[in-house]
Amino acid sequence: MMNSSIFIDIKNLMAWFDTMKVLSGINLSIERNKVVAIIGPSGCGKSTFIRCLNRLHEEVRGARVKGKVFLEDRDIYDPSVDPVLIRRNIGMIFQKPNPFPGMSIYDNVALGLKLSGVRKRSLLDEKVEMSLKRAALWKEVKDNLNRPGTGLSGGQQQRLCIARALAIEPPVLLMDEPTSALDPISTSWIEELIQNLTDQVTVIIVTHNMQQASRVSDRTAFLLNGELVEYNKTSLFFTNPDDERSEAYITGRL
Amino acid sequence: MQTKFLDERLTQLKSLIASMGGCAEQMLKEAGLITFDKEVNREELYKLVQNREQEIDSLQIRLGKHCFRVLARQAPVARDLRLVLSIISINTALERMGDLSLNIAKKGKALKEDPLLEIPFEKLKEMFHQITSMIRGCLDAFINEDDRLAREVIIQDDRADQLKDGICVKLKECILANNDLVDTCIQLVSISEMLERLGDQATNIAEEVIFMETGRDVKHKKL
Ligand SMILES: Nc1ncnc2c1ncn2[C@@H]1O[C@H](COP(=O)(O)OP(=O)(O)OP(=O)(O)O)[C@@H](O)[C@H]1O
Ligand SMILES: [Mg+2]
Repeated sequence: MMNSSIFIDIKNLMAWFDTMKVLSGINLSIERNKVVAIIGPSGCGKSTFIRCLNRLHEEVRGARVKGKVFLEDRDIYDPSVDPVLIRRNIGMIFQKPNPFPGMSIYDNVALGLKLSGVRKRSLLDEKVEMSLKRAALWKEVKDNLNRPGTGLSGGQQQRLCIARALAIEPPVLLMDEPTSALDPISTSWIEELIQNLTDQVTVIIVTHNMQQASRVSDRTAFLLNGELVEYNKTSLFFTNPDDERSEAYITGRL
Repeated sequence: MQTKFLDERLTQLKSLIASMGGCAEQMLKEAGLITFDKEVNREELYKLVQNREQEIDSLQIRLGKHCFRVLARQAPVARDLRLVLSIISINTALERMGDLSLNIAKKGKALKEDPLLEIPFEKLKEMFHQITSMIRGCLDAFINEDDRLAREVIIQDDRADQLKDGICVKLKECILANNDLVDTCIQLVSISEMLERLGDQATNIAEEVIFMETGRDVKHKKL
């Protein structure tokens, strides 16, 4: 019997680039509406790992995935599943904000909705406003919704990308070092926003900032050379980790 | 590089604790001489104890500042974090120990002798040695990062409490035998209570060492 509070259940997940294996059998269970931080040294496979969670990894030429990723009780790698729908439904935020160039703030947020068939203007307006509010950007842009998204500051662009991802009300949000290019104020905005999302969204965030992992996450997963070394409550992970390699890594002694 | 810097800071914090601990041990030793040794110049020794107490106070302030800075600037985690948190608590415990030893010295230098008090004095001396060894033990446990030794210190605390109870019984007998001894007996009870509190502080330090080493909080728990 699967524990009913488990929302994402990752079973023996492996990933390759051509013949190079970069993830070797990851098992991880994530509860609904929690924040999980993924940490580990550069090149250990963090980005690859979260890109497997919305079937983005296989888009790279020669890339391959094996294993299962259950979202509730459905394996997203089941042959009957359309990867395009998965990518559309599981939002991803990258290190560098990537608003659609040449598109207004409004259209950036509305595009996903339009793609999924929303036509009614009033409904679009409502959803755009709601998403921008949830991403804590509304106040700053509400009078300039027709300005290009690329004209915003870096921190604002990142919040725009988050609003864009939230518009379609995804159950899961993947974030790959979302604040590494931002100043501390924009960073704290985004961190606060992550915490506020957990009423509806399960967040998986890759970060190199140990303090950020300990501030925002409920659980922390430590990857090393494509292996999951430790997956623990964040409060324990940063005060008394189980594995010596975790201790060495977070104290800068690995 | 970053870590080397942190390691240097942590070593510095530990050596400040070692200095404070050395000072506290020395103070207690001198308070003991004042109380139990008839040959010493009590007033002179007392001045020395007073000076050491001030030294501990200023070390406490310095150490507190250093800990604050390390927390703010290095944001240590895991064992490093536990070490700094333990040091903050041990810092307070050692400062209290200084105060207690000073008070023992103050009472000790005013004590009067009487043949009737020989047995309680002997018992008090035994308790004094017990507490001295607990303090030695908890400081060694800290320096050597030895949680087993810390556990032994905590276990010794029960014995110290028993000794104290025994002393109070004996002192009651003395008072009943000779009313003129009331004042001195009260002083002796008070010294035994301060020794007991010194033992409690040693226990606190030992508990911090266990926390630092294992991440387990053993306060108010049976070992
Ligand atoms: N497109 C690619 N083609 C071939 N190999 C790749 C590709 N992308 C990543 N890799 C390799 O896969 C391994 C895992 O990379 P990944 O990007 O997942 O690491 P990461 O943990 O996210 O690192 P960082 O912290 O630097 O972002 C690395 O050895 C990397 O060199
Ligand atoms: Mg990466």
